[in-house]
Amino acid sequence: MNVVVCVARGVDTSDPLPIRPGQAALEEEGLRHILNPADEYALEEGLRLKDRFPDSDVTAISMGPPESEPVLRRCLALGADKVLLLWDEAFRASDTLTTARILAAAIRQVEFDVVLCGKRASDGDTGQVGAQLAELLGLPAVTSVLQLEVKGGETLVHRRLERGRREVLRCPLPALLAVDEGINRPRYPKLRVLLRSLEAEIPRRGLADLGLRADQVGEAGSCAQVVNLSPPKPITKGLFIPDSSLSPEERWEQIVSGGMEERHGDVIQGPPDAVAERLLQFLTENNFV
Amino acid sequence: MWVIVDHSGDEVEDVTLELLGQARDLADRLGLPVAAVLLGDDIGGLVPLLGQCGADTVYLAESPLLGAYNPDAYTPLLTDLVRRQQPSIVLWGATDQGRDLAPRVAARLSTGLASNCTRVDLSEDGLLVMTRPVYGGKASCNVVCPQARPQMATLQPGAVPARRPDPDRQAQVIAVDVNISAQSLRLRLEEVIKIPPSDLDVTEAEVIVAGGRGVGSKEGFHLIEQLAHLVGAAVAASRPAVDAGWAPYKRQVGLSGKTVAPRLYIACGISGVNHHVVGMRDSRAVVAIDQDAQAPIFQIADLKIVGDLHEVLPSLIERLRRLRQERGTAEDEEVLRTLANVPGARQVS
Repeated sequence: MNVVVCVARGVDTSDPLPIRPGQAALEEEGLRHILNPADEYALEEGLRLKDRFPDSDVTAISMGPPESEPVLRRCLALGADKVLLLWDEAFRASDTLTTARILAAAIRQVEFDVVLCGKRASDGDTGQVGAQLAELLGLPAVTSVLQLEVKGGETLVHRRLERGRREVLRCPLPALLAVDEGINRPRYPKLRVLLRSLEAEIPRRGLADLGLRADQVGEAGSCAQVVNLSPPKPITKGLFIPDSSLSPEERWEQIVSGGMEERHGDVIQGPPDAVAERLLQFLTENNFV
Repeated sequence: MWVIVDHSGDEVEDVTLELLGQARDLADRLGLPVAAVLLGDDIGGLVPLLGQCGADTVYLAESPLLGAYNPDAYTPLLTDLVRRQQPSIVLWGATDQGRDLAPRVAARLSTGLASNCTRVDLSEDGLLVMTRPVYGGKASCNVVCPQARPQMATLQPGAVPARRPDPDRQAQVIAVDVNISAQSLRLRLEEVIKIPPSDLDVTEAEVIVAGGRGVGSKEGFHLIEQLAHLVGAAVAASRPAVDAGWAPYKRQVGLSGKTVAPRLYIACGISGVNHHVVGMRDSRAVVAIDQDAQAPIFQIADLKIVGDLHEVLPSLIERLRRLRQERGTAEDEEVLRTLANVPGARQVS
């Protein structure tokens, strides 16, 4: 089985972010880049398919600048058979759809049964590329995959829905599956493989290799434009003014508690059975049971 | 200006009503009509509410093939409809369906999409400015789509308030032909599984029963587990309860645990220090049980029970058990049958 895994270089968002207010991009200096965490789950799922079907071939493909090479080395270290970097200066500032277009052009050139993607990128956080790539490739696709099983030319997947529901879907192969975070526990690299990956040649494809035109990719081909980037604004629920009728001590307590608005609920006191009865009434009246 | 409707078959989701209010506001500033797009099977009954909440027209596509969400049916249908009607803005809820469907339609139409927006507004020249979180919520960015049409955004549920329905408003219904064959559907839905609440991650649960230091012991915590089982809730814990080993870390709510916003949060023996409260204060309703009438948890509780949980909970559990026995639906019987698996359930009866 041939598995293609789409991976990306992501920003380590556990570090403080060098935001320049009003600008559309972060200050590059001081940013730490890693294999996008959501893609690590996709790669692990690909490697598990290889564990089950030993004649499988796992290819990790990334669209990104030459600085993405360490990310692909990481994929090799974890067990990918092949990697491919897609880069051309024309690819810079691609939005999700142009990214999908570039990936699709590369994936059309290889043989595959399954394309795996992560849920979202740690930086852009759109969660769009997987579904868009599937549309461009004309593949059936399932997003938010929490469990997957391949059997006889088709796959049975669990798709995560809200409120604890899961859809069980049958999907013919070839297909694209965008996996959810937590689908598996990614492995650690083996030292021998890791050392080898440090010296591996990372093959690269550009605009012409992929048969794309410059106006289809990068900023020229993108529809969505980021105007500016700013630190998130806190959601304010009205200005908090401490109650002046309270004692200084209580007022201080109110301030340090974040001035949370008190909910004026009913106080119930009394014998346990009466209290329980009132509580039961609350639960049934509000349709909780 | 279009809003794609999210519904459960017999009810319109709240996010759609929020979107309609937002769309109405933007459309009035642009001088555009608002249309709701409703896809499903036998769902004509949802039309009046859409009109009352701000839609001028409702595009209604009904077919058994549209009963459950299937991207293979919904994507071509919507793409085709957008191509013919050419709306300038399309808004979606950032839901299971919207997050999957909107990027697909955007890809087929070759237009831009901003997902998980927290806000949409208009720029001076009438472009849709879409504000969305990036870098794991550490920054937010404004996105515009200057050339391609339609401009599309998915909005997070709860991002904008819903409008009060106006009973005098009515929407005009436009039926949409569904020319999709069953053969073109590649994905097949086998079943929908509902994970039992007790196994559910606390961030996914609609109802949570949480225990804290006041629960006192591992055995005391069994009361929390039984109550949770009987009301169909997930079990959560405050940090002291997790530190004491009464509940696993994955069930911890608060600053060093998870942040939850269920419909109902029942806090038992939790005093409500800030570290805990920041993790649950967005809960729709809060019931607190604690012995200390001065406990800060009561400041954010809708129902404040001052008393000993070791006396109140067994009584409540017994009452719930009796209620379920008397009602005796299949669900009730299932809950009572599986109650035996909950630790400590037998001792209490």
